[in-house]
Amino acid sequence: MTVSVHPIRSPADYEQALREIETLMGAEPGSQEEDRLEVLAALVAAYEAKQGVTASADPISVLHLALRAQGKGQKDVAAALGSRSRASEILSRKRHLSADMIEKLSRAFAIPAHLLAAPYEVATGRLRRILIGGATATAVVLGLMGAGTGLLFWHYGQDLPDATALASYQPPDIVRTDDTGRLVERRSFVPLSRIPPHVVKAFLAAEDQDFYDHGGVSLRAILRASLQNIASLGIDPAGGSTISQQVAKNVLLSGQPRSLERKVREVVLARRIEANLTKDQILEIYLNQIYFGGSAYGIAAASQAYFGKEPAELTLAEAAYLAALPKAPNHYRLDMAENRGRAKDRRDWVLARMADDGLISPNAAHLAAGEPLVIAN
Amino acid sequence: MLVIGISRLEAYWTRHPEAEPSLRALHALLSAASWGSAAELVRQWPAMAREDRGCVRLTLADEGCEVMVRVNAAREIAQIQAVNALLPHGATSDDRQRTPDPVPGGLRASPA
Repeated sequence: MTVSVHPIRSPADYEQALREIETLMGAEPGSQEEDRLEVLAALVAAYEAKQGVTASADPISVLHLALRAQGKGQKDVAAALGSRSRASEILSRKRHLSADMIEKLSRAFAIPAHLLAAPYEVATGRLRRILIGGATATAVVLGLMGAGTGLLFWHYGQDLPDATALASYQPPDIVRTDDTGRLVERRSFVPLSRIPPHVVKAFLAAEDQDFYDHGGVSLRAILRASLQNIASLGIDPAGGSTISQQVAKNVLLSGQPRSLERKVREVVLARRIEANLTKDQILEIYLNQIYFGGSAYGIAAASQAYFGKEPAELTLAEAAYLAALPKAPNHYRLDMAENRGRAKDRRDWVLARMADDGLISPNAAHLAAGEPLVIAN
Repeated sequence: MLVIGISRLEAYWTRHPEAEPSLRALHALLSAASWGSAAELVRQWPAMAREDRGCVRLTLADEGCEVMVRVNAAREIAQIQAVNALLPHGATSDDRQRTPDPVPGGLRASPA
């Protein structure tokens, strides 16, 4: 038996085929008309697929329609799933169907399981509103904080000392005594070229690990200090100031009391210092300016005061100890007997940090930590 | 079942987008079904289907339409012949057949 049909190439062919199918739907079983119906139907289906008319359905619509067709409702879904709340959530698209639910619903309402297994979106409703509301509130708060910070920096950024003047600044050589002849300040300048690398590394490890990476302010250091302070509940607080900020504070803002205003000015000046000076210039000023306890200002005076030698002669252990001092000079100074235990702990911490940062080998840190910490006669 | 005449469904849901999910669901259920006869379809979907002059009339009241389907169970072919907008209460079956979806938007868009 052969069935002669025309291919379907146009909407007109398609409509004509549908009309013919309509007349053939009641064809006698086994007749030629029925064969023709089957062939035409296959051609029509192929044409529809080619036209891109697809009728994929989402599982919850399928479930709703099947329930309506069978005269059933949410109560029946609850009975099938064994839970009223689950039935309600499923029908209102608040949760996805699990494999177990699909199996139960498929059996209860004669719905092929694959129709219920297709992916669909759930309406998260309240949670989504909370998340959107939270994100909006966070954005507003962050925006206000940003604007406030900008205003703060603009306000305190007025009338600041000239950071460019530091480019030609050299800390002076000073020996100053009080009325009784007691030494109160001693400072002598030493160029960076005469300070050995291990001394510089000790200060970088202790004071500013990101010195060569930041532009005056280190967010990483601020974050790290904040976390440390939270973890230690504020005992032995860590600072997030960079070496550039300390230069700004000690040289350009010296004598100003600790305050939010000074902190903001430090940040602004640190950035200007970085813009006008090289890293080596900043480091040189810092090492010659910083206070080491007693009457010692600058690395040269500190080397003499604590170890009776030039910076170039400092051992690794001595350098680590001096690097430990700027954080709290009077807390760690060796000439006070009660400080010695914590001074050694702090020195060993600097050595460990140098090793952690890869500035020295762990072995060198271990050997240096084994050296006694004694002040020169 | 091989369901043909999807263009009839598409034409309706293009004019009445709110009916699209249900019409797609209907098509999916028809495609997955394997009823032995039109009468079996009517038995399984008693709240929606009834036989009418050799066709099965599927009433989707919430969507304001009814879908006319002709079934050849032996060859497992279902032809969607028309999707008609439901007319206001009181309209006769003949009225419906004469006026397949006369007003875009069906009942909801009716000026009455």
